[in-house]
Amino acid sequence: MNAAAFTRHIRRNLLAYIALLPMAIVVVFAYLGTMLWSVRLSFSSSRLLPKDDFVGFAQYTRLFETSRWVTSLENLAIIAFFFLLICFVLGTLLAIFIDQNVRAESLFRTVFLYPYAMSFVVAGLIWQWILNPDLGIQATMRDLGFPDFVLDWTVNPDKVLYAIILATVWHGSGLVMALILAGLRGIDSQIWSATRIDGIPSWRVYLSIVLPMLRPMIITSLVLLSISIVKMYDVVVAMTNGGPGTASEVPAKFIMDNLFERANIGLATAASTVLLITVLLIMVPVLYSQYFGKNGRAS
Amino acid sequence: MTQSSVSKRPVSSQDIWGRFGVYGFLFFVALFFLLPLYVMLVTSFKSMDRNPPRADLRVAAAFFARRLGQGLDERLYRA
Amino acid sequence: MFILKNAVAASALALAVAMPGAANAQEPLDAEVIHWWTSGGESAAIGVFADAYNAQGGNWQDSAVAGGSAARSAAINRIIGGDPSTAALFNTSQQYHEIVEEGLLNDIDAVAMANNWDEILPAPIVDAVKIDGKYYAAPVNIHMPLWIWYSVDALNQAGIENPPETVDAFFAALDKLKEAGITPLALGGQRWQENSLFSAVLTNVGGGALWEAVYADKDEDAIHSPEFREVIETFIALKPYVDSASPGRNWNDTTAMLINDRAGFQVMGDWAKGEFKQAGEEIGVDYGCIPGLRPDSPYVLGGDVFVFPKTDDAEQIDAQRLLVEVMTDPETQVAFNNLKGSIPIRSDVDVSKLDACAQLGLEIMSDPSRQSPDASQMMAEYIYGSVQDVVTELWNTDMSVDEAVKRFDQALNG
Repeated sequence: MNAAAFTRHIRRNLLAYIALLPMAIVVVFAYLGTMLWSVRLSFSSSRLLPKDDFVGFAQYTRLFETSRWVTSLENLAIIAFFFLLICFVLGTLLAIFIDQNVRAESLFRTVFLYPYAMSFVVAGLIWQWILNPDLGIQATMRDLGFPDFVLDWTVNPDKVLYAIILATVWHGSGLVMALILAGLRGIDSQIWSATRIDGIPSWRVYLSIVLPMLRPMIITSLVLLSISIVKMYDVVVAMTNGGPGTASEVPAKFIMDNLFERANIGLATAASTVLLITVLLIMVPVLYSQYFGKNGRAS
Repeated sequence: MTQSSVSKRPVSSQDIWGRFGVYGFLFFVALFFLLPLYVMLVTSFKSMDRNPPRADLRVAAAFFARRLGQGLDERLYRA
Repeated sequence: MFILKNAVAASALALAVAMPGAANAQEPLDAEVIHWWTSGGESAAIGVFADAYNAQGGNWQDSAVAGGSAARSAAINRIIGGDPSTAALFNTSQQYHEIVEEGLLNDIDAVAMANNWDEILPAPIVDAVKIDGKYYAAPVNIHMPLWIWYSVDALNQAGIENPPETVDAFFAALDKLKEAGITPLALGGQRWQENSLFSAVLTNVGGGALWEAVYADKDEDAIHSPEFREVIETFIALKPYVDSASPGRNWNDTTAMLINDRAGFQVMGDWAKGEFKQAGEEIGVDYGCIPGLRPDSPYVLGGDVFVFPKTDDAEQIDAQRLLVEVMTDPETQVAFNNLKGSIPIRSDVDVSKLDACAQLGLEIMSDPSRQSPDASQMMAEYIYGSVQDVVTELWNTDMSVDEAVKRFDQALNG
């Protein structure tokens, strides 16, 4: 774009730019500004109140010497992997099955999507009741005459992550279903006619033709789910509060605890910076290929 | 959805067993999704004198207190 | 007062409400107090302060904020924003020291000196509130977080004659309870409760000297000493006496196990009394309290304080002084602490109005050699947080004693 073209471009879109200005200011100061500020704090020795000194990577060294942080990261990785996998598979299957011209389709859709309308707090509390050995399924089964029945996920350090994954999958797979279903409805019906004429089995059509066509939907749903899992906090607090011990601690909870309860701003901001970088490392390639890649929008 | 668009939809499993599988799958997954709703409704209709709901309410109360900063109980101790 | 006609009722009522203030020749001293005492017993307790203050001609304005750290943040934000409250409930932790260093508080030395606080307050409390020789906070109560409570019925069922007075007797009692099919030790598996249990083991097995050597001095030798190893081993040895439903349980649900005689013992602060009292239980008849398992077990002193934000307004300073006077007044102290479950900060009070456990506590506390600061006062919050993380991991995993010692060292000296 040469200078003249640039000027013309500006002049023609001046009003639009002015209209966008407040929003741009908000983005720069409220989002980028606070983000940079917290990165800056992570290099200081701040405890209760922000300080201006510079201590290099001391907070980061300390962070990775803290076993609870390392446990939190491991837990997050395990939860994220199974959560994304199960949500995606279950959500896609639900969408495909609902798309089979079933009766009471809207009823099924509502049933699968209503958890997403609930807050994580409520989801966590309800599943905490269900899985509570004294009140929930275990107690019910024992009352029914199975005295050896054991379902102690929330109180067993080895299994507590299953409980978290179960609750989050229940909460999130409806979203995948809705997005994929919307995508399936947008598939040209001629593709189905063509494949039927060719006699291709429908599972093959889904796998090799339809799902690749739904790539934007899939990426959108995975991105939304990933974000919700990285900032996962309330569901853990409601279900286990990180327990038993530190078996279900997650990074966001580590950050919150250090920020507020433990008056340790330096460590908390170091942790959130690590989390931010992790998210960027995962998201940037995905978003890049989505928006600027060969099949992307910008090409 | 109108009838015409339905006719264009793929009907992958023409035989009765296929339909059975589709409905069976959806039905059982729906049960899983509805379980918490059932629990919530049952809990809300239980008499308040019984122990479990009371404990649940405390869980909720403790949770919201914690959201506000620090656990009710914890605060007492750390006071 | 007035004969109210319906039409003017509302405005007349408003006038009537305003009257007492206007009637006083002197303006009442307005005092806005931020606090987080919102539960039943707590708000009744703070009501004692409010009534006492109003009786002295003041005008108490209650600003309750739910949640401790939210209330403290609110107080700090008001100070920084230039609109401080008259007083605010606070803790004497690291945060308190920081706001004093920042010069955000008025000192209350005038009242403290006039009332001879140096003499009448227990030394750990004085140490906790006094910074650079000045009082910046008014302590209002003493909580002892490490009482051992027991259910009399449960102990009777297990054939235990006397409540244990030594660690060995305590373990013997736990064994008997287990044989009788009663949960021996009621524990809520939350970080802070597990930490209370560990503190109780540390003070009762290790003793007051080790308690302070490890937590206050963070002494490497003490952490690696055989005595501290024994503390860790004893803590681990308690695991089999806890029921499987323990993780995540709240402290009051745990106390309910003692009330229903389903469990023998619970380590919990003196606020547990509130639960027993609510259930209509009597000290000595239905439940009992053990302050420690050795003759010299330390009496750990926790408690709440009020701070008084910086202001130059003479009237506000008068209000702050009046608040301090009122809150630390002997009679108010007894009435307040009976509702709060804690014991008064001064020993020159009418003990006969306190319950048996509080009297016992006051008696033990009168021996200065048994007074110990609470763990939260011996180290910064972030260190204490790391220590609690170690304790909860130690309790919930199969961590070895060597590993535990290493972790404690890291947390305290890292």
